[in-house]
Amino acid sequence: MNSLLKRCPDVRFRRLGDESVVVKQSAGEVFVLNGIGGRVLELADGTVDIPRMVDRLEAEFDAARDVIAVDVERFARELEQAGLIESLPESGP
Amino acid sequence: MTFGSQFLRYPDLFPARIGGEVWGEREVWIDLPGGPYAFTGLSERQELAMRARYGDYLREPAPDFVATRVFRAQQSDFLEVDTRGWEYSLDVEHEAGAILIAGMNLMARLELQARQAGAVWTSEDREEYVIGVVENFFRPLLAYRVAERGALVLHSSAVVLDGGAYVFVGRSGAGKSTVARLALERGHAILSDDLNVLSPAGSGWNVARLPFAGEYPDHGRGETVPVAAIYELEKGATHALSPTTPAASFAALLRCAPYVNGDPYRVSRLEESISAVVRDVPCSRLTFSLDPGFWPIIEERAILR
Repeated sequence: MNSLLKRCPDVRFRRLGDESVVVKQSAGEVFVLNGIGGRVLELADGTVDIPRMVDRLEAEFDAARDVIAVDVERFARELEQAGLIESLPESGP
Repeated sequence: MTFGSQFLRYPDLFPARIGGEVWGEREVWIDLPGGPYAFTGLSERQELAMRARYGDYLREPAPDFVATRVFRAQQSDFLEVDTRGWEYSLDVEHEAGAILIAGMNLMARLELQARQAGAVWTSEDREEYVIGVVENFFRPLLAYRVAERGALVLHSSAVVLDGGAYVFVGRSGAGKSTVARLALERGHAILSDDLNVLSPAGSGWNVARLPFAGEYPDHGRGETVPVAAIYELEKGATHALSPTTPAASFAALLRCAPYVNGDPYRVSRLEESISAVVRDVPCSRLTFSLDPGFWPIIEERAILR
């Protein structure tokens, strides 16, 4: 999953403490995400791919890069399966 | 599926504005949070049915009010619905300027920015059907009105102990009505076992019952009680109280704030109110096994308040 990630247009989220509440309005679903999950969703603005997300989160969280990379990959997959983010084709150079 | 097609023979002809032939010139004024509410254009039978239903909440006309006009529709405008084994839910469409509602013998528009806030078109003025039609409009109307004012309607059961209200929220089937029944059996007062309204009060929140009870009958015009705690209900094998994070509490309350929580144009004010509730009121998760064994947990907290 190396394409750009973008939040789906019907998704809203807000941070509360260390977690985030995510609403998928069209389905009437409400999710609670932990810190890294919430940041993955927050960073998914259509301009960032997973390696760049890992770069950002490595600076923010006190965890080894390889651990963060596994978490981000997993969260991205789960968020996509839940219909919260979508993969965009990367545009060429 | 096209909006309204489950209930309406001609969904494309859903009224685009408030107007039509009224049933009559009778009216009823109701005093509930977000109101007072005036229902006008009623027939005599509709008026009598509403007066009987809302007796404790009736009031005299007031200068500032939320008006709903009731118009006549043809029976042929509505489809026959086979209700066997069927759970009724309204069809709702959200627009920037209005909320459209379709249901059994019901078309309605909510236009909250206008003084004439709503309109109901129905083919029914028989007593046994009028209240159902009106309440399918009145509940969302009230939820939107209070949300605009920083309060919120919650699908909940509220129990009063030692002057404080304990509000139990949960998904359908989580046990809200069971809590109400067990409270009554234990001698505790309950507010509504279906819909209550939470309003800011100083540094805390008050809760008041709405006359939209679930399984337990209307207990008359309700008091307003300070909220002592909110519990998210979860069925389990044993009884236990466990802490929840602010995000989990927020999510639980948002799921239980009907009508407005599904409206992308108007949900933000509701979410601000829920954030304030989570900040101001102790929230936790109550796992219980649908029997009275959980009361000592709640009653101990009431004593410690």
